[in-house]
Amino acid sequence: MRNSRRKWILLGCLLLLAAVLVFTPLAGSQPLDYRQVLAYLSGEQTPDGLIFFRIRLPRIFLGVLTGASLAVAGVVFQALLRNPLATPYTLGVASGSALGALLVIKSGLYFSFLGFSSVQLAAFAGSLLTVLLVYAISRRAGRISIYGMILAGVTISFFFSALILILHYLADFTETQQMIRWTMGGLDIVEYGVLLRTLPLLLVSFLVLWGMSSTFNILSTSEETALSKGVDVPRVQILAFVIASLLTGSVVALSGPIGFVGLIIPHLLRLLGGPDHRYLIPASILLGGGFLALSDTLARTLFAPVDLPVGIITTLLGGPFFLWLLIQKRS
Amino acid sequence: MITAAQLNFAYHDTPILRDISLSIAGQQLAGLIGPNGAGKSTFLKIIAGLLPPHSGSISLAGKHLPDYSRKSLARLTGLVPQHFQAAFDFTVYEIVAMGRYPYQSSFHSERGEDRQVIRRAMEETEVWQFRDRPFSELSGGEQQRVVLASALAQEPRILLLDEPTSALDIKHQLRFYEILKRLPQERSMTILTVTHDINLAARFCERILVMKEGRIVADGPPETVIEKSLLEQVYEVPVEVLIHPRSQTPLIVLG
Repeated sequence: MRNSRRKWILLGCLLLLAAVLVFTPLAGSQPLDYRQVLAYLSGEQTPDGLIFFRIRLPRIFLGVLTGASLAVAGVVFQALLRNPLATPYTLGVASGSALGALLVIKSGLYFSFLGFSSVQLAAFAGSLLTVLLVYAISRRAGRISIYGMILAGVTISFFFSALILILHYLADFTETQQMIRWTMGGLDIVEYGVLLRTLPLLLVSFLVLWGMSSTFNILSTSEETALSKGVDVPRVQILAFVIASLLTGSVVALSGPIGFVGLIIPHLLRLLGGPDHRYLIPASILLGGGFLALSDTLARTLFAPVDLPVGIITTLLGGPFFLWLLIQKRS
Repeated sequence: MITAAQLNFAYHDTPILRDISLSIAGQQLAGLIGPNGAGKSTFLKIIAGLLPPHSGSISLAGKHLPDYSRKSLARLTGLVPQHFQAAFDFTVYEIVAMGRYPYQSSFHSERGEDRQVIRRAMEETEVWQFRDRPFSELSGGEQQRVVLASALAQEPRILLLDEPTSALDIKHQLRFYEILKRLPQERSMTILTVTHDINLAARFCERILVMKEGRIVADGPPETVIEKSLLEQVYEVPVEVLIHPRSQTPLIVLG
């Protein structure tokens, strides 16, 4: 029963993503004419084509990659921590990134390396540092404790938040503005080079996580059950934790801490097709990508020419949706 | 099938298991009873490979436990825990299908053969009719049979159960044990179940092991083990042993 429905849901997610990729670049503060865009493909340097392919499309690709990564990281953290309310940020990755990014903004140490800005690099370094700390603290005799992880993650989050507050306090007006803007999370115009250099890590992560789908099903029962069904629990926990954290760290470094995607996409898909990860993981990648790119189109067009940070849109959509889910469950 | 040799285990400095040596072989349903804290669950966990013993060894099917990989161990032994829990709302079929994990590799869905094994396990445990229902909506007794089916889907030669019926009403207790009773012959399995229900154990198990303070203090068929002085010494309460009027097996009442 669920099986055939899942195939339709997957197909629907795929079509949505394809439609988003084709149509959303046409929308924006300046609407584009698709004939002009097609003309660009045949070698004519039309301005509409230039905006489509050089400005909007890379930003939409960034949105798709970010949304896909956050959604799938949400799925993995929820299975790993056996908690449907876990998010990619539960273990402190976002606060580590923020600390890194804000340190650069405060110190004014701007440079760029391989197309990545120093803010992005520092944000990624910050997330790696958090991952290592959480791992080191929750590791006992070759295995990690789930409670240890959550406690360590939450505590590190609070600690980093305090450091972030110090940075805010010391910052002048412009720096403060940049800091707040970073924390809101938003997509920006990127070079294709940046996307291409990030892509391998993301794709390999997606593939490895997808390959672990049946393991996540069993991991979400209990540790004892998982072991008795043949899951090498310590190895799988560490692998999943590291990959999901790297994914989160990479996209947060590029786009800031965009909220709710990692929570609502997995929930919605579980509601539609059940919790089997063999369906949930590919579906999250497709829908998470489509959803964030679509939200970003709203962010670009709702108050055009003002470009809202997409993090505001996802949270505005996500918050009420989540409350609705809670009310649904109660009745 | 299960052989323990001079097995010792301690939590911190408190000894839990002391020099346990025993062998459980062939197609039989064996029950492990004893007071709380006697070390029954710990013993079961060590056999299931969930805890390493401090000294001594366990062999399963003639091979030392540490020589098994996780997956090969899961093809040999199944475990029914006291409480099964899932963070998400899986269907009954999905829970049972998890038992096929040790036979599968990545990117692999159930093949026809897997589906047959799953169906057989669900029919034997009388849960096939629940296959599309959410696991969480079943009663405790039905859930426990689903968990048993999931263990059977592993096609194990050894089945370990930790107080599988302790939260069930008498109807579901009886139904569970009637299913369990058929399995050793039908699937040529060795079954070891930890239980607090001495009367159920006496009625259904061919062999009863009694554990106290980390030692096996009695081992044999119910007729010889379920005996007044032994039980009074083990549980430190007065008991009377009667005979079940129909099955002629021992029956205890608190004295």
